[in-house]
Amino acid sequence: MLYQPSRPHVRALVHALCISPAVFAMPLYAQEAPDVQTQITQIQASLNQIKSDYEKRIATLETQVNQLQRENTQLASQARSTESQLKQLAVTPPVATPYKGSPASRAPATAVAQAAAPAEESRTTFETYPPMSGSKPTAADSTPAKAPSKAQQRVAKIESLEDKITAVAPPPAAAAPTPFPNLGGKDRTIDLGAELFLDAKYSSQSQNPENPYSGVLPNGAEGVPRGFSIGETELVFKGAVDNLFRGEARFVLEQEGNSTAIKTEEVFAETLGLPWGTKVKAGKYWSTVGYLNDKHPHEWDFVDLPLVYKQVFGGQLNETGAQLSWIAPTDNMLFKLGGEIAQGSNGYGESFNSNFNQNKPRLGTLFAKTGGDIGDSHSWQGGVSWVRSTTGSGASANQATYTLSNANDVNFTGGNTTWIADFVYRWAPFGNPRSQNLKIQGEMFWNKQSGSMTSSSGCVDDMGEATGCSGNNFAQNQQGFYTQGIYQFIPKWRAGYRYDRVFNGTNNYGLPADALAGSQIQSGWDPYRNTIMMDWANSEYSLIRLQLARDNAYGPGIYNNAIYLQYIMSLGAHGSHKY
Amino acid sequence: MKLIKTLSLLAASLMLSLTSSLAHADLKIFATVPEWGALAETLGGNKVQVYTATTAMQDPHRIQARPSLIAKARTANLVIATGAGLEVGWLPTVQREANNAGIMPNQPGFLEVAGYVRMLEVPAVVDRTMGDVHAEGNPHIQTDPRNLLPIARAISARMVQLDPENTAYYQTQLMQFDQSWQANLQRWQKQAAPLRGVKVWYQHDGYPYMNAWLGLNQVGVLEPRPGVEPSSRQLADILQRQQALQGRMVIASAYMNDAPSKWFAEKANIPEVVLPFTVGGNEQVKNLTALYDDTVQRLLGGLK
Repeated sequence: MLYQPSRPHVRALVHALCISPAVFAMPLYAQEAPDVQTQITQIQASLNQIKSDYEKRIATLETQVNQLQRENTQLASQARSTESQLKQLAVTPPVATPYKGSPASRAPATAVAQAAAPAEESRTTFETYPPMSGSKPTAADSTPAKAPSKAQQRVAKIESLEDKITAVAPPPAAAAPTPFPNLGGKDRTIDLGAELFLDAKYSSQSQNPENPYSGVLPNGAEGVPRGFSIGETELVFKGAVDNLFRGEARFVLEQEGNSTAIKTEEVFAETLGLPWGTKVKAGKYWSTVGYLNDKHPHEWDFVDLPLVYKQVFGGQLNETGAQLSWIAPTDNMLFKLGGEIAQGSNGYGESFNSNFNQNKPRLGTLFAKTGGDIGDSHSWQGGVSWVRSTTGSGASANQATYTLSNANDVNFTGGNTTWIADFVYRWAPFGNPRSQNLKIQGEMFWNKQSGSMTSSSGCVDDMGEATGCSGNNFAQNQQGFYTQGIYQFIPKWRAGYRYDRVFNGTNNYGLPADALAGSQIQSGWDPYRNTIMMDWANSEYSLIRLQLARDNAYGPGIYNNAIYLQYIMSLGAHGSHKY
Repeated sequence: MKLIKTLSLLAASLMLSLTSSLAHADLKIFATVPEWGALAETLGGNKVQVYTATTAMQDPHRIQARPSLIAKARTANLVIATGAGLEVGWLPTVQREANNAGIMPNQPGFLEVAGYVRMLEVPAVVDRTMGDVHAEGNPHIQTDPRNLLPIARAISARMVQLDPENTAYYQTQLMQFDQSWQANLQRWQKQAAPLRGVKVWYQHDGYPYMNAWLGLNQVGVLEPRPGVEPSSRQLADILQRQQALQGRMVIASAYMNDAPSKWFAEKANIPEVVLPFTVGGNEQVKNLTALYDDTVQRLLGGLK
């Protein structure tokens, strides 16, 4: 503890340590260095230096101990004399007794505190060379049989002195508090965290994933292409703008046919300083509705999205607009409410409701979320969300266009309402998910569309020629759900199962049967799928996944047996993920 | 009708919880790890309400940003974190999601205590190939009780800043803590004297501060890289090295799976010591004093 090497001592020791390997190394090396003799003399000189340093140190420590003991006895006698004086006065009630001793006991404390000041310095030096002092006592331990050498005697003497000092002196305080965090001169003026996610896949499928799902209207969602492909390479920039705002931008490189397309996935700013638990977020972002909707592909537990997400949102609901959210000041459970208004110009079924360059936003959402813990090991979150969008009508109407599998284009004008209920439950033994954890989640969608539809062909006019036609009272009620469980059974390894299904529900397309003949929506099929996966994560930053699926989405008796192999790698700032 | 009833009931319960939380004028403190929670309780006494986000059985590095954490952070007046990257995997999300302006970085309501002690093992270069290495230095600063003195001063100063009405109270509490802690340090110093220079193995490199405090001689670490469990081949290699190094014990922490340490202790025929690591790490460790008492006693037990 109180090891106090002087500067020349350290230098000499370092010198000795540096040249000693040269001396005791292989003979070949020794031959190359003919002046071994001089090196030996150098070492001897430095050892002598160390020896004299030790002797000096023993002397100083002895004087210190003597001084402290002197002071101690002096002060004790002082205290005794004051005490006896006070007793002689005999006016103080016994309550005051604790105070009597205090000036006496505090005085030596300050005295030894001064003595401890160099001790603190020594601690600093000691930490710089831990192996030196650490190995000494054990070296002494290992040779107890031999008669103690001079050096061992010295060590023993120093240790006994040190123990004497620690017996009277308070231990050295930890490093002095610094007024400012001493984490180094990091340039925080550029607070820009960058992350890059790499995602690549190989897939083999018995059906063409570009085929439309049976029983439901096409929605523009893309499947994972067969063979090798890159998924989403995501580049993220994020950080605090100033004390009131925070910004985030995510750009995506995506495989599109044979080429790669750059897309803006999210670009938004959000507030950091609004009162009463509120927050405003504006820009282009993934809506907070549902559970999986605002999770990025690198956070997914499976290679692809559930069928119902593809069916209702054509992927995930990603909109340009603004969001207001509020968190109730509750104690244990989370209550969060929020709503969004958005242009309805992108994302929702790709071609659906392209409301660009219009004053009126045509999409609105509301969501409520709640969640909490059950003991240390269990936690849960549930939510209800509502999404409403319209195409508008009249001159500013932005019709949604679907191309059916019979090559017939149908246009939809009307409103689209979706309700989502979501639930997530997580288990981790004692709340420590490192080696084992379980996650069960499910979401149910109720989607209702009503309005009118026109068809580019499929009707026959008075002259007996094929022509377009329009229908009234289009009404579609469809539902869908998925449920999945992911179990991490040993560190790094997870396995999971997912079942998902879309019900085509009750539909009235309001078009003549001819317009729909031969198309996928004629069948009344409810697509479903079974998926299993296993992944291995070497660290928080890398993951390799194998997924097998038997997909019955393309119609009765048509099975897509698919195998996917995927990796996800992340580079850059350490991300922190949502629940 | 039924819906309205349910809704009004829900609203009423919300209002109730709202008013009940407003009624307490206490300083609400959100501590990321048990040691700062315990310290805040000591320093804030009956003027504060402390919530500790993690237990001693959890790895503070791997916590999920659960809804309950967001709810607690929403109403907190002061978040006390270790910093130095320990909570980087979840705290930024909790802070961002909690819609609480007061606890954002660089606000008085956010305190990272690692800034108040001298950091050890600050790497010159950090690379992901090294495993879970923190650029700011080793974050397990609570393994040296001397670090608690400057940290206590920093926490107390924040309490005063956020709740100036009770300044005198906080200062008295700090003084009391300071005095009792100095006495404790002296006691541990004496008790732990036989540990000086003792060669030890660690399962995880979590104790450089304890080494500096007690003068333990760390001969090596079982984990090949921080946060990565050793394979059986790596353990066999370490067992080979033990023959030359002669470590006296192998030390694991309560929150981790100590299977590697157990195996190694058995093969090398040396004791395995499982340290509590933080408050609540075992049944005896109910407060900060007990934490270091227990740590020293367990280490001394390993010498026998």
